[in-house]
Amino acid sequence: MTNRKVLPLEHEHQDEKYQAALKQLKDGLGSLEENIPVYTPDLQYFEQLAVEQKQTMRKKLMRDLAIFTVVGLLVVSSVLFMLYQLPAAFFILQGIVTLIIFAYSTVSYVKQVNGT
Amino acid sequence: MEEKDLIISAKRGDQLAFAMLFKNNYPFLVKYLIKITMNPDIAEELAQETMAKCVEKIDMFNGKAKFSSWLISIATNLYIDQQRKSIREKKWKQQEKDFRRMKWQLESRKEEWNEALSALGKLKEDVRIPIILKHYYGYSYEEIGDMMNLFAGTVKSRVHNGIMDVRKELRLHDESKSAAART
Repeated sequence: MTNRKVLPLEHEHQDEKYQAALKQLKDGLGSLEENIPVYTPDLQYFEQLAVEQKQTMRKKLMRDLAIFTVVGLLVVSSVLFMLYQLPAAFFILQGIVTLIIFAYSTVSYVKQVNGT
Repeated sequence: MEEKDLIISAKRGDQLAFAMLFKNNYPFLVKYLIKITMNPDIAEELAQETMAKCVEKIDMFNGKAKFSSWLISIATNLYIDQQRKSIREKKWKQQEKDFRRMKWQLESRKEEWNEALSALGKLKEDVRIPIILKHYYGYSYEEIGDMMNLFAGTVKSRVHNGIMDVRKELRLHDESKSAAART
């Protein structure tokens, strides 16, 4: 019985301290909000920022496309070279790739089934 | 123009709409970043990066949340990524420096430095940020979870444990103050 009386009081006391810490935190953050000045640039600055970012994105897209095209051309030309010059190696490679894809799909499926 | 219309125009590629959205939300974003970084210079740099990211990802904004909330969720993730990349020792020293600077800045404006801010600064960023978002900005645990890619329960426990740590830190500070007064 005595424990029952003491525990809520202690809990209340703990809660008070928790609320006091929270209040101090809020006050501190509020004083940062009010006392640290922030200078907002003009509209042109933000417009320029958007323009520059779009240009950067366009450049990145062009670069990625160029890399993709070069790599794609390399892969296709090497496959065609193998097909006409080394047909045996071409078919072995096709077989290996098919096996890898099949094994990978099976492992992923088994993992998914075990996971659920 | 209302925010919704500005967002629609920005999605169509209107630079002026982007500029207006950024200008309207810039003080809010920078002040939030100052609170989590305690460094106005880093806050401005991060705000710039956030806006750049926003131009890139505007098509992914679904309009369910406020634009300002979306901005601070991008900023939060950028800051967390940046902190993960930096070396721990260097990070700690930089944070100490930032706090001293911020303290000086407040005191020069005749504002008293609040020890709770020092205690908050000692917490790891993934605990500090949810506390600020919950108890200063009033976001729900679910909203914070969405922003930081965490479960609401994880956010709740981080906020609670973080405040307990702040409380402990404040008690230690009070004890050392009263011990100094006694001697």
